[in-house]
Parts: sequence; C-alpha cells; structure tokens
Amino acid sequence: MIYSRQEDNRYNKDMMIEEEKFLKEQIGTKNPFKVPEGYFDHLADTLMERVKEQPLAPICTIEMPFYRKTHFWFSAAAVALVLGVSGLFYLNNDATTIDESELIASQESVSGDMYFDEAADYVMLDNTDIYACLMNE
Amino acid sequence: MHQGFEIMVRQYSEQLYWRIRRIVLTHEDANDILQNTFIKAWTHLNEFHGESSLLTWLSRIAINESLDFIRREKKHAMASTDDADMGVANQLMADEYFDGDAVEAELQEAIAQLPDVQRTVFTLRYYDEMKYSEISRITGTTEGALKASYHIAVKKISEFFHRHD
Repeated sequence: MIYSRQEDNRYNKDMMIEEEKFLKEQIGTKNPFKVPEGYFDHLADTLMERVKEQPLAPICTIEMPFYRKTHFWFSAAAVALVLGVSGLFYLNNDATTIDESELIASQESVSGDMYFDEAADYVMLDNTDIYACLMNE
Repeated sequence: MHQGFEIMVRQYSEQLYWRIRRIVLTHEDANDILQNTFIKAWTHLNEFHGESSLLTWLSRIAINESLDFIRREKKHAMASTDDADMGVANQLMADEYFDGDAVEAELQEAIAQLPDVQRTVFTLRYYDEMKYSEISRITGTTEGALKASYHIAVKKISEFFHRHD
C-alpha cells in the first residue's frame, strides 16, 4: 500500500498524540521538585547581593536615528520657507489682500503641527527606548 | 540602574529557577546556575537591545548555562564513577528536595538521557506547555526542528517506559 506524504504526516502526528497522552496519563505533568522552605522569599535579595558585587555593566546608549536628530531642523526650515514665500507673495501682490486673521490662523496651524510632530516623537518610543529607560533607571 | 535590574530579578527569578531545575535536577545546581544567569545578564546588559522580551533573553542565558553545566558534569562523570552507577532515578529518590514518586523519578532519568535540544524542548513543552514559537526564540532553533525533536523525545521516553514495564 502506498501512503501519501500527507497521510504519513497525519499518522506520525496521531502516534505522537497517543504517546504524549500515554505519558501524561501514566505519569502526569506535576512538578516533582521542591525547594527549601522560604527559598523564594529571599531569592531576589540574595541574587541582588551577588549582582552588586559585580562590576557595573557598560551603560547602554541608544543612538538616535538620523531622521529623528534632524527632524526638527527640517521642519523649521520648511515652515520658514513657507512663511517667506507667503510674505513675498503678499508684498508683491497689491491686488490680493489677505485677511490678517487668516494669516494668524495659518501660522498657528503651522506651529501647532510642529508641536504635534515634536510631541509625537516623544510618544513614539519603541521597545528599545522603553527597555533603555528601564535599564538606566 | 540597580533598581531597574532588581525589578527584573524579582519578576523573573522564580520562573527561571524552575526552567533551570527541570534541566539540572538538583536544587543546589539550579540555585548556582540561576545566580550565574543573573550575573551574566548584569555584565552583558549592553548586549540586550530589546529585539526579544526580557524573559526570552534571560531564558536563553539560563538554558545555555544549564546545558553547559550538564556537559561539564558528563565529562566529570566519565572521569569518576562516584554516582554514575547509582542512576538518576535513585539519586533523585534519595534527594530531600525531590517530592515525586518512583515513576516520576524514572521520567527524570529518561529525560536526562536525551540529547541537549530534545531535553530542552521536552521540559519546556511538557511541563510549561510553551509554544514552539517561543521555544524557537529562546533556543534559536527553527519551529520545524523543534517539533521533530519533541516528537523524537516523546517517542524515546515512551519506549523507555515500555522497556521498564
């Protein structure tokens, strides 16, 4: 009789389940080991005493990615450019009048975006940053 | 820095102790290896970059330390015959920190005869019911290879019991 590979795999899996079931029924999975009384109560203190005897690990520093280092200056340059072009356009175009309140609103919106970007940078901590904070506490 | 490390020690020491104990079997050895694990973690803290969870990273150190210990013990046992004739099951039954019956001691003897990877995957899966994906992150072995190792380990242990029936 020719068995397909799939049937063969299923047969092997069934056999394993049977054998695993046999072990779990016959012996069980109970932890057969025990520890001296109160061992876990003092374990962390004992371990920390041993650890404190060791030299300090070099402080881990997290290198900030280039885009995050320069992000603020790129944003600032973009805002300055937009304001500069808008100003030139306003001065050179007498026919077009811009309502002052609109200009203030647009500036507030731009500075609001900048603030949002900076805040987002702080909030977007990844795993590495979190672990680094924990380790450097 | 000590404070952050202490939080980690308090959170994971018990869990790691049991993972080590199931591989090395005796309390004294498990206690020594657990201390070495945290000292190694402390002195290599700069190598942890958060790619895996802290527990996975610590488990990797703990299991490597345990397997190194077992390899050293095997070499030592080959050189001397002090406890070699006694057998693992008998040694455990005489151990004041072993709480199991004769069948459970036999299971530990069968596990102790397995090669490193089979022994590790069997203890993590059988007692902790750990997922293969997590065992893979700890051991650096593929899930497929781990499934095959577990299958072979279960088969060998079943055969061990059928032989001793």
